[in-house]
Amino acid sequence: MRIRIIISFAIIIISTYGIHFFLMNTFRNADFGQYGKLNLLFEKSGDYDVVFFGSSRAAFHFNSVAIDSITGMSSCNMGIAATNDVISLGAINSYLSSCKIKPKALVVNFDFFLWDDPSIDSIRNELRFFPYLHHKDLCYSLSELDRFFLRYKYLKPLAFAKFNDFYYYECYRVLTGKKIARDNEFKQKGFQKVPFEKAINFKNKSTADNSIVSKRQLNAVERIFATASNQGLKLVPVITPVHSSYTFSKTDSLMLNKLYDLCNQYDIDCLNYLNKEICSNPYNFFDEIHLNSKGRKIFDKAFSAALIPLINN
Amino acid sequence: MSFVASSFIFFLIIFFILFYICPKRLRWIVVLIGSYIFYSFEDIFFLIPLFLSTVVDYYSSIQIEKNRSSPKKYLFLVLSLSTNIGMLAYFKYADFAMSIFDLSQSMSYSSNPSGLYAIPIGISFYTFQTISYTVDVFRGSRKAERDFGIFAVFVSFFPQLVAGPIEKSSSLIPQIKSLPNVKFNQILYSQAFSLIIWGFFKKLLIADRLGVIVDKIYSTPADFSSITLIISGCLFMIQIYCDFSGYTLIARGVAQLFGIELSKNWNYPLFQTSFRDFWKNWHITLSNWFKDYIYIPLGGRKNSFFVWSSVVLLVFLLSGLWHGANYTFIVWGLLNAIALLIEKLLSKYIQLVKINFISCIFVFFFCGVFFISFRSNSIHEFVEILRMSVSSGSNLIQDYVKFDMWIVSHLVNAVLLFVFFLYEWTCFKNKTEINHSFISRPEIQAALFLVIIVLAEFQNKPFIYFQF
Repeated sequence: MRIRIIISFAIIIISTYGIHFFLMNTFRNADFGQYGKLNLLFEKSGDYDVVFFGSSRAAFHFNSVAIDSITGMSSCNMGIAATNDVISLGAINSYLSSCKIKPKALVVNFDFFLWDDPSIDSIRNELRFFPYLHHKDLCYSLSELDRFFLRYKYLKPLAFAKFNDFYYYECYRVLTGKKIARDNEFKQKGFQKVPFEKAINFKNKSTADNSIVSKRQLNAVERIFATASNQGLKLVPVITPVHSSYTFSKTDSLMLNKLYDLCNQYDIDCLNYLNKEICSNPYNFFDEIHLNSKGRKIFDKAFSAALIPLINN
Repeated sequence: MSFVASSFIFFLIIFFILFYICPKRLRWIVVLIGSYIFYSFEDIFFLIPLFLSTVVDYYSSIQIEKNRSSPKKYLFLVLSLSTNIGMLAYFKYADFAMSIFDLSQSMSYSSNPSGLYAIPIGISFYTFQTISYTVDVFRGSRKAERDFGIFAVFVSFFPQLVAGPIEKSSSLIPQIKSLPNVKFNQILYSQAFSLIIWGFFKKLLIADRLGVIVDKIYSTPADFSSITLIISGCLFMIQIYCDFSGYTLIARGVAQLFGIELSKNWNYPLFQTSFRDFWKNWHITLSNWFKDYIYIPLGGRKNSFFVWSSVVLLVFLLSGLWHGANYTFIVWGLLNAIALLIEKLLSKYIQLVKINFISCIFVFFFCGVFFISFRSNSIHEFVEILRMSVSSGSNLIQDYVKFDMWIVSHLVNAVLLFVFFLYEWTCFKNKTEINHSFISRPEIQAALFLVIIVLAEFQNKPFIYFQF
């Protein structure tokens, strides 16, 4: 009986490691879908002139293909939906450590008005990062958001235990090369499409004027500026359009000033699209803080025109 | 702390080691401290009502015993009952009672979602357990426990604290007293793990996976066809059965690791051929509690049909209310009571035409339909779903598309359900205990563990019965 128990434990340990490595390797070989984009960011970084970072507002707004055709440069969108500036910092560090030629510019979209969102410091849907949960830079960022993240939440061979069928389906698709409509959301070079083009789904902001600003996010923003400066890279902070009906709080104004102070400190121009004409037309937006395809076309054109002189200077 | 949380695994390992390395006579202290730590993980304030219940019942029972021939014993019985029922009423039913009298809007505390006013997890279970203890002492059917530590372990023993089984003191206290004699061996290990593994299988692979489908249906019932809506009740019944009986199995397995045998709370209710047998075998310890402390004292065993039916209606009404402060639970209880009354009225005719398989399907189906009320958020929603169940179309392919699930997921669910029904049916037919079946083999446990790891989604979904 005792030997049978020991053998059973051995089988469990060997099998879990086997399944873990199988899933890990499969996802790391993906060249489409959400894992394809992660691979581009963490392992297969190309040599681009301009790289975009940020949350969904970066992923959805910077159409790398359209911007390339106007600027004549090569760019890549590394924005990850449902993330924050702490994860953006990890993504920037990871990209810079894996690329062979440093980019001419890092374009980072800052969602300063979300730094006081109570949920900003959470890790949303961490399984998206499964193949890179133990990547040095990503780990560092995730551990900053949740100090228990690595200590016991993700025991290496058992990380896949949290998978639901969706992830096995993704694994199946990668193995068979089967693309589906959802893959169109991840266009060439990282750019993501807003899934719904015509819906205008405006929500009211829930944070109050006296809400607390996340120190982690502020710290990460300062480190993004410092990283670009230390590596001699041009940093282009951008605030992509927000619909004019969006109600900014007093804290938001303070945070915007904080961002401008950092720009002044590092002698950097910030491209702020908050009060531009594009923001007044609701038909340019999918929701209050995301453009739809029509709005994005207008934005990309204006942004590309502003980017060229910034990079050439 | 939930059994499916990763923190529980760490807690259990540490607790297990401490239990077996500490001096044997101090084991009860380890169990008591471990139980309080386990319970305070949810909210440290939850310890207050638990401790209050422990102290009041300990003191009351001793006083009842001391004043056995004096009317004072009634005073202490009232003290115990009013404390336990008062806590239940305050935490669980105050909002509901005020909503009946439409006072809730003027009361500020009802909107407090957390802190002291949050419902302490498992309060319905441990208050019922302590009530049964005090009443037993009052009746003279057991002696009051003089050792406060042992009594505190009886109230707070962590595997059964938050969702039962509701243990009788005559069963649990002697086992707690014999903790120093517990010796861990391979047989105990394999039996305990067979319960734990099958419990996890039922919770994570059946209940949680079915929960995804059931939640989708109940989030937008109007989108689904009549057949799907009717089936949803049966699916929910399987879900809640696997969720709760899975919990009980894990609790029994964990308790067995420390040499304690908890009561069997379920005896394959889904395969019963009458409503009476269904309820005799569903949540057995709660049914027994109602039988011992409500049904029999009110004359439920007397021959008069009127008295019997009145008592049955009352018991099921209380049983529904025990599950939650909502009209849906009351209606669910009453529907089941009415089914029992009709069954009793027609029993002579039913016996003539009874075919076990058809009766089993019939009971399964109607209990499933009644569970729609249990799952609905309001009576209005329940009535709407019933209305749509007979008036909507029956396009199953359209329903399948609305689930937005990979076809392999449905196949996996079907295979898992088949395995679950086949295994439980075999155990039911052969009257085999799960911890004595082939699952007690280590290699089978290893295989099941791997299947669970791969197919389950460890997202710490709470057990449904925690809310009760």
